[in-house]
Amino acid sequence: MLTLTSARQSRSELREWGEKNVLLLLFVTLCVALGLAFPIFFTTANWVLILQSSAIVGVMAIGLSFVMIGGGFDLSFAATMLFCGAVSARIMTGDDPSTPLALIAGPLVGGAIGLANGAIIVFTGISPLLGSIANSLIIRALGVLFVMTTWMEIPRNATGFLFIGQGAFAGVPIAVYIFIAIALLAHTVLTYFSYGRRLFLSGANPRAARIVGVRVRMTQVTAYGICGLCAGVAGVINVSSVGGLSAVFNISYLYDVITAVVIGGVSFFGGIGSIGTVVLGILILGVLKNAMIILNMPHYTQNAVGGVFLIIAIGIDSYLRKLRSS
Amino acid sequence: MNDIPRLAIRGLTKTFPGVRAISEADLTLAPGEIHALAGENGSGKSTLCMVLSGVYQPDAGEIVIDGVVVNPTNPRHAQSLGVSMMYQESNLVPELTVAENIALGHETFLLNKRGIEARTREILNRLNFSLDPSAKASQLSGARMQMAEIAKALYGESKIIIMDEPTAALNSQETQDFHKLIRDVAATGVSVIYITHALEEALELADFTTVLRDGKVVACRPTTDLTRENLVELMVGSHIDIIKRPTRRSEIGEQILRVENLSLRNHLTNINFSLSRGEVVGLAGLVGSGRSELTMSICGVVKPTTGAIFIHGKRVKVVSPRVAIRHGIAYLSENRKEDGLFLQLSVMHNLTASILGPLSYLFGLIRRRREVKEARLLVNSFAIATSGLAKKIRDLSGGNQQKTLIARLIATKPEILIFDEPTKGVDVGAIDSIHQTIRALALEGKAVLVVSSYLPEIMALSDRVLVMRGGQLVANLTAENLTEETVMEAAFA
Repeated sequence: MLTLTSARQSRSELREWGEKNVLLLLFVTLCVALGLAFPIFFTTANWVLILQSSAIVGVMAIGLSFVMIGGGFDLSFAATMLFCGAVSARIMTGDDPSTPLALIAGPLVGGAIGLANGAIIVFTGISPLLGSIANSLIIRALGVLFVMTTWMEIPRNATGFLFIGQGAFAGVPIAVYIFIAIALLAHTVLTYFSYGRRLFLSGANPRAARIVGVRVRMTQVTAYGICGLCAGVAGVINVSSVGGLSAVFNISYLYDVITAVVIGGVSFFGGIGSIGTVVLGILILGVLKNAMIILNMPHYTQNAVGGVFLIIAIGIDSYLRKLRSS
Repeated sequence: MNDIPRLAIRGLTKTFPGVRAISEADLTLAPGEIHALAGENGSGKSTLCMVLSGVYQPDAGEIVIDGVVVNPTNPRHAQSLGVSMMYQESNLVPELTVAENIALGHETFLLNKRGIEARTREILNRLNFSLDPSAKASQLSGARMQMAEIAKALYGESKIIIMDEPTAALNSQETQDFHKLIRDVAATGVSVIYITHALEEALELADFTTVLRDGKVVACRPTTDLTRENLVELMVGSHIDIIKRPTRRSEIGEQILRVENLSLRNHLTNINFSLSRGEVVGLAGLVGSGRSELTMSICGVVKPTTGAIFIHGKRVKVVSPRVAIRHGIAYLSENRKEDGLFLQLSVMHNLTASILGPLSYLFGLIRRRREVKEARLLVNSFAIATSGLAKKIRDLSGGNQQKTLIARLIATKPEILIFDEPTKGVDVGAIDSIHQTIRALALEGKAVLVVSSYLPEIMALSDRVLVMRGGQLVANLTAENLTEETVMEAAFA
């Protein structure tokens, strides 16, 4: 009995259309405005820069999206990224450097850290925010104690390893291809696989998810594992593009990733989000940061602007939630 | 004594969306009178008291206290008018002393500790309560907590105290003591409205008893004129027969589910029953009698402390709802929003949530076409009114949401179906279609257990009725001795 009913329905359809396309409109408007204001904006060199810097943030943003769709949250991925980068760097700077091993070990270690992080948060039932901060401290400390040295430089002759972060194909950086591949894979898993569906169910209503037969906690822990895996990939790309790693590396990525995910419409309350909009969120943030660099804004002003954007995005998320529940 | 009643209620009406909770209720209360309110679940007792204590505002009618028309706008206002309410569970703050609790809400800007204690002591003495004002509330027994609650009401100069099942948490000796306390309090001129589900309690304690049914006052008599039997009769009455009892019953087949000695700490004790192919078994009992806990224990939602569940004679360990589904048990929770719906997801995703496994290839790739086909079939066969499968379920009406949840259960092809309040908050049309679905399931040879607080629903659907009271199964009524009266008899102590 498929019938069309009431104005309430068309209003909700309009809302859905708006929710879906507001980001695209924002992105296009932003690009047009910046293009008109700065001739340099629409040059190939500038876009390569935007994409390259968005790739690392983007890979982690996709990982965080999994966790948040499942109703959790993570602040430890930045520490995991650093740890995994250090693991790869250690392999490449060791006595017996091996590019394939370094490329595989980073993400795998990341996945393992993510699973442990998730298991601690999910099975103890502590607040994901605080739990992941605590785990982040532990991961950082373990990294500094056992893996890192003050400065690990990747040997210049390790061209295979350095190609990941510095190389390009057809003018597009390799990191961007990796990001696209991960985004497509993530989209496929979330949309076409039962795991993705169970993740949405777990985030949307964990009690109901359990009753329909979903192993909610396992599903959520796996999402943290995926987030760790993505952080591992980002860590390897980062080490490769910098050509080395320092123990005092700063983790400003943390805020960029959260901002991108929230702009991308992934709800803090679970059960809502799509990779398509997250990619738009990443690009919007990338373009904004690019504009601030073109404007030659001081670093701290950039952070302040980033903070303002994060607050606006979170505000919109909370507002939409209120709207939905009414 | 003068002739002005302490409290007079005239023509009180309160409507909630779709329900007339109280309809033109009248009630009179003399000073020092103990007045019992009796009625089934949902008969309007609680709503009436909530209106009196200022939680709800009436749509029509008036409340007169000592000859003055009043209009309590909130509980605090009601208290200043002399009406206070005591709930089943004590509301004392465990960290505070008895005196501090009693004076709570009446503090002056600067706490006068000695003044409070003196005043409390005076009230406790007047009531003849042996209660130490400086004892911490957390150290009190259930009965003493209720003493403190009464003293608290009197500290605020209450003239009318409404008690909602105050003895529910007390043992029998404590209950006896408590009854004496109430008589003492009433002797000081305070009037008491007493809600209870224990009929003997009302008969023993109250001067007058008012019986409510479907929001209307059906009787108000001196308690001496009442017996247990005619009280039950008054409560049940002859319900408006909106549900027709189906004449054709299905063939009862072999036993599928057997529950042995099932217990759940603080909720269930030694439950034994079985379900057979082709029968609908009603599970009746008052709210809080353990019905929902029993269904949850069978379906793996909560873990029973002891007991065994057998399916087709084989013992199974139902450790989670996931395992229950695998054993062919389908469960509909009474909390549609909290335990059932994925509000922000689509109708299709809600429908197929329980069958993702069977719908998928290896590695969990969902067969899209099969999923759409399956969802469309469910939408059509359950007549779910939606503009499409992609529609968000929150935009559907309550009835259609409920049908979606039932369709989701059926999709798992269960042998045993357990419905907890299947028609709660559902419009009349959907009620009818849900009832037909439930009967049809029995005809197909499934075993069905239906929990309902609405007796006519139980009567219309069931081949057999189990009745629970205080966490125990107290009756198993088969066709020969199944009447509304026998169910009510068993449900009330």
